[in-house]
Amino acid sequence: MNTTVGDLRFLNQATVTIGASLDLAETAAALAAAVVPRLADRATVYLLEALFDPELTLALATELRQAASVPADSGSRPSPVIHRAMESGEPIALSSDEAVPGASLVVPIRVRGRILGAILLIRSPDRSGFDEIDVLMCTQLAAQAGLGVHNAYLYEAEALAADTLQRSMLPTHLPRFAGVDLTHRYLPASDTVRVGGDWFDAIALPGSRVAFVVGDVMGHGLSSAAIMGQLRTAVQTLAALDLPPDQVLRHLDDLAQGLGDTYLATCVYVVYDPVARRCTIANAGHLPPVLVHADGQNELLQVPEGVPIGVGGIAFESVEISVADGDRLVLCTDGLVEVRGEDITAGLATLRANLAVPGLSLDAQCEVLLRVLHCSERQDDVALLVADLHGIPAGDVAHWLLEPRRTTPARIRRLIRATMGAWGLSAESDVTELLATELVTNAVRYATRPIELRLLRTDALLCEVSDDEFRLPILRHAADTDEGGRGLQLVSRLSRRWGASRTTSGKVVWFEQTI
Amino acid sequence: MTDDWTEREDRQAAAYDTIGDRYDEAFPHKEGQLAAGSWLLARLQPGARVLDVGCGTGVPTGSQLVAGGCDVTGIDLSAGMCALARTNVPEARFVQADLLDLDPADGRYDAVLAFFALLHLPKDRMGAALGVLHALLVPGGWFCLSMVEADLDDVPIPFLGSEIRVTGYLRDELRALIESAGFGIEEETPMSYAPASTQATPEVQLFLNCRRT
Repeated sequence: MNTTVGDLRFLNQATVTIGASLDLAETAAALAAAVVPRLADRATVYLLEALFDPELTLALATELRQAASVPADSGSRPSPVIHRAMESGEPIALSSDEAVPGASLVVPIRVRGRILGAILLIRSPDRSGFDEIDVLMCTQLAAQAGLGVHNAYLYEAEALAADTLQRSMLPTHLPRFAGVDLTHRYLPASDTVRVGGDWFDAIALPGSRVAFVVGDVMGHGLSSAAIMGQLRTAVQTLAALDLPPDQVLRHLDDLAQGLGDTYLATCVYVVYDPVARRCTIANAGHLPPVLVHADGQNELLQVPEGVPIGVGGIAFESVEISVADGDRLVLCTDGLVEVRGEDITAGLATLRANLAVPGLSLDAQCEVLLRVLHCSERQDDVALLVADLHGIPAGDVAHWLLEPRRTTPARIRRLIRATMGAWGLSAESDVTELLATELVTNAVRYATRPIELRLLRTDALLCEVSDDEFRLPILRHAADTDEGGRGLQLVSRLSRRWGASRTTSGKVVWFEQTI
Repeated sequence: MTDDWTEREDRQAAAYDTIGDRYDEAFPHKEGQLAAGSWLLARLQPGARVLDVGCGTGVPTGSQLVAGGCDVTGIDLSAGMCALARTNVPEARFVQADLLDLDPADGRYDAVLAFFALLHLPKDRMGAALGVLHALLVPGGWFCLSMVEADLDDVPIPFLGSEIRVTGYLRDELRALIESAGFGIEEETPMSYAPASTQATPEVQLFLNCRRT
């Protein structure tokens, strides 16, 4: 038994070819191609079906898939000898007979003691049978293929897990808001292994305001998706505190530092007030939003760029812009506009050029952008959030300033009665008056400047009372003997929702009533 | 008038000198004011003498009334506003003056308008101001008033980057005040208004169309 330099050169070359891919089918094809014609005239590679579907349990799998054959259409269904070789874990060589002309060899594909499939080699009847060197060489190549197949399997499984994690942490649909229509798109990277950490959100804030969020955790894979999930939850929590956008980003930055390893993320946070028709924006190194006006003109909003979340130590800045009813706000991640090897400004220019068509529906606009910008070999994932800002009509808002006096509760009851009467909500007015009285009575006790009462009619009735005392009211259990403390209990019980948050000049306490 | 009062009025006027054109930018929609102007024009003869108290930039009321054939006089505490009004409506006469200084002996008017003007006076001067307006009108003369609904008595409020002292009534209180000053209310229109500026708060505006009884 002699091996030649030619044998070794063949083995070396075939090993390199088989190990070149991280893809199941490619690895199988490389193995089949490697053995023909030197070792056999026909070859078929069978792999466990479960390798192709990471949701199936590999340990229990027996079903085989014909993964590759050379020549391409020469394969056949796995014969019992294939299963026998896989069960024994040893190669089986069969000599030519009448039923199957030509010598054949079955070599299991195994890695770390686990059988993943087998390769069937068949020689034409005019060739001799497989000798020991043939079997050893084939076993060596099958072992190399086994490593490749298993790596590809693990790689796919992680990609699937990351993709599942990423998707499970993104909203499947966004809530509806008064004065806003919005839609979103999320596309994973075309190479599924490169799951990104893009996220988007739309969060209801007090006063019928809405926070729009788009962010991007740098890097890919499971850990990026996991960090994204944590940051998204953190933004929701910070938003619920109704903090100004720059402070939301500052707290998010603090949190990211505390997550341990150094993760960087970009994020833009926009608060839209549909009554004041104003957006307040802070940015952490993300692409600035684009505002499209009703006439089709658009502008890249001039927002201080800021630094990514996770850098730390650098202050964020909020800027305020006025928006008109009918304006469209476009937020996206760089996956949409960044084409490999091209400057991002080129992608941004394409984005803006394709926003210039007035009158496109939100969904049509998204489709246009994705068609133009999202080429199929994109390396990064894409999050896109588009919102039409309609505003809440002035007629659905009433706002008053009242000096804090003993008689103020009686005054606000008159204002509420008159306004709700004009809105056709007289039947609901009693409850509003009762609850507003509780809030105003409290406000009058501590306020030194005029208090503000605001009524807002959308799909619900919102009543807000603002004053210049910063201390937030606390819902507590009032004992039978307590004189005070029942006001908020009443508000909590009779309203659909209620809340309190600090403002720049004090606080606002609000409740929402079903109408 | 006392020195204190003069000083206070100078401060109010100075605030409006600073605000200038930005007033119309912050309050671009004047449907309520225009509707009241139309209501008035429908009741006036051509050449009627009309006084616009707190005329501001002269737009849109001064120009609307001039276009409607009225003989328009506007007064404003702010010299800057009067200058803007003269440019905007050259056909009308604009005088820098305090309403409380006007003398009916100098001539009476068929109609008086006071859009968001009286809200700059403290409550203890409101009776006197309405008395002057009453005296300036011919019997049966028309009076169009607009105020911001609120419960405030001469409270400093941040407004377009300046600070203005503001007075406001609830609609029922305003109604009682106007009637007790000798006017009959023919129309009352409340209107929610959202300024196109982040430096002014949304408000409920009250338009009262009245007649001297």
